[in-house]
Amino acid sequence: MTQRLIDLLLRASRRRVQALSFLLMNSYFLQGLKFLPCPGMNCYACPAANLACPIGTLQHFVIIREIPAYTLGVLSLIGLAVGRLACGWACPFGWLQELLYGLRHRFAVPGWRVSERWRWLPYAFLVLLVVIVPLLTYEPWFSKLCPVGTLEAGIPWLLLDAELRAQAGWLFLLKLGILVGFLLWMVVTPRPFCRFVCPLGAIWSPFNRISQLRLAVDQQRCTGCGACQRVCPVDIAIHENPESMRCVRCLECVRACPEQAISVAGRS
Amino acid sequence: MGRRQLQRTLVWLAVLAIVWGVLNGQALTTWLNATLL
Repeated sequence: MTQRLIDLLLRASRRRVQALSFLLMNSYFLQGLKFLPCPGMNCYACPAANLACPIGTLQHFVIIREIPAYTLGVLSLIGLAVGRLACGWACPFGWLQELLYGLRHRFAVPGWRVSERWRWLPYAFLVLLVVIVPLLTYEPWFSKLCPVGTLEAGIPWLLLDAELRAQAGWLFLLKLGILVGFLLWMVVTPRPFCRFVCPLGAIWSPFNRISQLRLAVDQQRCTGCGACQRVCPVDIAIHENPESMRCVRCLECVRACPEQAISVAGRS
Repeated sequence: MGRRQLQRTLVWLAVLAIVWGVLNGQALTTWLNATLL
């Protein structure tokens, strides 16, 4: 099963899968699927969304003092099967970040490399803004500030509804500022939201170590040329750590390695 | 505990969590509509 998926992914165009995933998650006509957690950051308040944002769902159950067993169970099953693969192939916000980072090359914008010492931040956002703050304030504060929500729900709803437009105040301006900040950051740094903010990525990260789908490096073939890191959308030296918790399993390194030293397989 | 055994245990825990959640109405979307409205 996993091997079949791998073969399929290695033959597929990732950009097309990401575009298709975005369209499926926001196709409007499949509204009955909102009982399913979305495998990626896609706002469920978007007028066209048809899956539930797992982070919004987690906050809801935290607020009503219930263990979000169903959502955590679904996320764990996905993580156990493929690790963070959904981040690399299905997440609409990940796709947007890659498209914007692509502009950097087109317009020769200088890049901004952020130190990996901040890689613990997604865990902090998960614990603080998804669990502790909603628990104390009874408000889903991550969702309130989430740039995905502003882009896919806040802005479209304000454009569609004049009454909502009249009510927009300081919170909307703050959300807009956060979104604009991230959009600019995405042009100069590869996938900054995934690497330094995303709580969904933080949930899936540990599963990279035990998932059925895994990457492996043949150290005898590897010359350490760094081709894998150059194509990596999250800037990982995969030849040094093929089971990195930050890897989004995009498999670009498998295709890019000139020595075919990186392989992807179902764990036996 | 080996990796394979850990994986199997976690799969069972995840399935149990899903069943428990479904039985407790967590897969219903009534809360979602309430949250968004």
